[in-house]
Amino acid sequence: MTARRRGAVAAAAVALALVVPAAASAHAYLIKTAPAASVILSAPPRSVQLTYDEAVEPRFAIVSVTDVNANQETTGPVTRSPSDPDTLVVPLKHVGEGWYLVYWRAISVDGHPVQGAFTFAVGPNAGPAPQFTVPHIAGTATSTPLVIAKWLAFLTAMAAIGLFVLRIVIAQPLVRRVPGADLRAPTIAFALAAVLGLIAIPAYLEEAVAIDSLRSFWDVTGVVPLWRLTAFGRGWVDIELCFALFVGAAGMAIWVDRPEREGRSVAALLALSGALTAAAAVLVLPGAVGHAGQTSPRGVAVPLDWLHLVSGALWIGGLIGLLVVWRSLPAARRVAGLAVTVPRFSNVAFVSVLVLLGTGVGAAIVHLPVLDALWLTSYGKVILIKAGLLLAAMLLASGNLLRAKPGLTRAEASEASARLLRRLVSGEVVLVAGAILAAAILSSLAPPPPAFAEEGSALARVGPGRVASTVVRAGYALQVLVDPNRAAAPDTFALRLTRGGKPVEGASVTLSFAMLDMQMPTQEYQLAETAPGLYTRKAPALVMVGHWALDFTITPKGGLPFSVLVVDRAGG
Amino acid sequence: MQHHRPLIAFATLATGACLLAGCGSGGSAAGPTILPARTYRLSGFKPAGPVVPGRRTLVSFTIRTPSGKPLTEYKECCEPHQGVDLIVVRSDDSHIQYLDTDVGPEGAVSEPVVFPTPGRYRITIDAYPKATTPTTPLNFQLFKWVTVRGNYRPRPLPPARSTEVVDGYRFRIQRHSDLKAIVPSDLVIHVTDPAGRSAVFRNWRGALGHAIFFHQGSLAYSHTHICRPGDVYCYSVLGNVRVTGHSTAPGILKAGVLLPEPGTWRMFLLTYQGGRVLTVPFTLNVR
Repeated sequence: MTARRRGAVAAAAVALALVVPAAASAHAYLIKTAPAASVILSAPPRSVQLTYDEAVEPRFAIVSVTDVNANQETTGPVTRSPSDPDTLVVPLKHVGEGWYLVYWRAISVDGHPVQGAFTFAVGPNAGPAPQFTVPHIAGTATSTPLVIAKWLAFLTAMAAIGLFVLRIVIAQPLVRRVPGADLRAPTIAFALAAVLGLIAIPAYLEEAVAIDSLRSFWDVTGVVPLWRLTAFGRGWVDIELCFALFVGAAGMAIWVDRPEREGRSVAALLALSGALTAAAAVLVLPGAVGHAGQTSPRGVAVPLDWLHLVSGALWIGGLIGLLVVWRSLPAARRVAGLAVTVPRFSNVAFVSVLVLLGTGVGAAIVHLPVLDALWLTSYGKVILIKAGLLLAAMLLASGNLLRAKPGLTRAEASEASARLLRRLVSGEVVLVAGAILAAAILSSLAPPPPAFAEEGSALARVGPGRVASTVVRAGYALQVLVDPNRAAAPDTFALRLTRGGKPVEGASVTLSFAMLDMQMPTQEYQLAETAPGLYTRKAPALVMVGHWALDFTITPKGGLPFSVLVVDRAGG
Repeated sequence: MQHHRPLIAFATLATGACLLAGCGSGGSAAGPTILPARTYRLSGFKPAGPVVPGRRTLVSFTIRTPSGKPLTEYKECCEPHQGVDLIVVRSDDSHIQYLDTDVGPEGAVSEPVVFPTPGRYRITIDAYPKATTPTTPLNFQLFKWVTVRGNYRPRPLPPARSTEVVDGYRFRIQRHSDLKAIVPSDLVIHVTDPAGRSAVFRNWRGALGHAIFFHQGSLAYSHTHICRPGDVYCYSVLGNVRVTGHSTAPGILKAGVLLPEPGTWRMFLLTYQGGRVLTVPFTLNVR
């Protein structure tokens, strides 16, 4: 490729990225509730209604309404409002005076659970506002069985695709060049991986949907009808269908393949191209329905993810295939067989590893808002672990490339080289399988939200518990007060503004809230001056336990505006 | 067979992991566990059962704070916003008592109460805790029912009328009929003594007058104060709304009203006259 052509390709890629529209966040968020948060009603409500920014599936939603003694007050299941598809409704008993906690959990279209809580009271004499403990259902997307299921789905499908490519392209000349050699073993290995993949993909989907709908894995008749309710579920059904198509086409391609002949027949070429197209579709879907599909620019993130999976599949499947070929060849013909297969695989693997590395770095840049996120968030840490495993695998691969591969052609060292090759390849398989496990964990975690980038500019980190913290900015002393700093409670936010020890009166103060642990809309409030230099606002803004960016924008009377960012941890 | 050993190993491993993934899920997903909230609660409330009418009954209890410890410290300054008050109302709104209490060691609150007739009485416990933490509320109310033995005969409420006479004192409400729920308003009440002169008011429990409201049916409670001008300790704030009443001239009381729901309400106006407290009941229709 000439420099000019490379430039043209890069320009085309950039143009494509600009043309493809940026994806909106696919996490559902709550935009309205009835009763409103922290309201005191004079009559008991008949139901609780939650309106989201997208239509969430009621069969996956939990809405719990409890009194101070934790008695459940709902009388029926969650349903969709007949008048508004974005609204969930749960009927209530005739509740008495007092305070109530509403806890909700819903599944976004992308399959990720979101949750929150708020309180309301039935009055007029509701009594003192109690301290509710806000429940939290751990992110079930990262439960061990689910991650294992996802890993098996990825591992088997990728191994099947890689094994097929090894069997039909890389190892094919073996039959012609090594007398008595055949390709039965890699064919069986492919068939086994394909069957396991056909089982593992729906098993993963079944497990994910079972967890989201709070049902048992074995409640097949209850869970299977729910498979196609979310975009995530539909995506995985499509993956299974494409994979089945691939397995069929691949089986056909192997059946019509005549490795003893030099050229390929038209039928063989057609079957091969069909199988490769289906394989490409299988590998583009996980990214399209997962994080890559929701990351802007989608035109970059999805192809990166696809190339990453393609190169990973060629590598892991090829490595397993090499081991299978090694074992299947009789000792006398082993070196000769490997001398045909290994150099051909090395070329493919070398390119795959480079692509894997490049696309991995590219995806990390796309998904992480700031470099800090790499070691400060669990998502970043898993990326580091995955990268470590892949680097270790690359070290072993370089051992193969530099020592074992040249040794195979030297008669005096060939036996030792073959043994070295087997050890190194086995190690590589374990490391790459580990990297795929890390990828399964990674794709189950939510990437850090863009608001995470704000954390770096915070002047103070405060909470959990009551906050009274003073920061200095632009010659002003600002005391930030948050009380009681609890999620799902009407918290009081205040800013005491002084300059040279004197209160600063008449300033305009706004406070915006951004959730740092997940993507949510930003809320903004104007603070009122309740005493000289003291600006306050009571608001149920901290709707979730976790880290919040509190961004105060202060415009002193006749002065220039400035802002102060404080990262607050709200307790439950 | 030897050649296929790795395949068998791989298959065994994969099947085992599949089973692990599947089996492990049974019942692992469950709804949220909700814990009881921490709040102010009553403990050791007495009388625990029905009581006898007309006899002195000791009402006693301890208020527990959200941490579970007894609430021992109450505001000591200044009336009318201090200590623990009891407001006893019969379920038919026909009778109330507004009582002060003693707070003993360990936060035990007690007060003798005479329940005059059979029936059910709701006790509103209005507590003003000392602000020991920034989250301590100014005051809060807890409620308890007491049953008085005997044949309960509910008394129908008298219709709304503008004039009531108690012990020769005449209380007349000016503009009686335009009260609306959730809308703050003032009731101007003209008071004359038995000789027909404008009544002179003096402070009792921190205010010239206490207007105590109970809804007929739900027994929803509201309480506002009528204050001497310039008395900084006397005020009434409901939610964020100031509904303090005033008396700027002898014979005139201006009571603040803010009622949360429509319907028939009973207003008990308590003032100190001639060495005793007069409790004047009015029926109010609120739209």
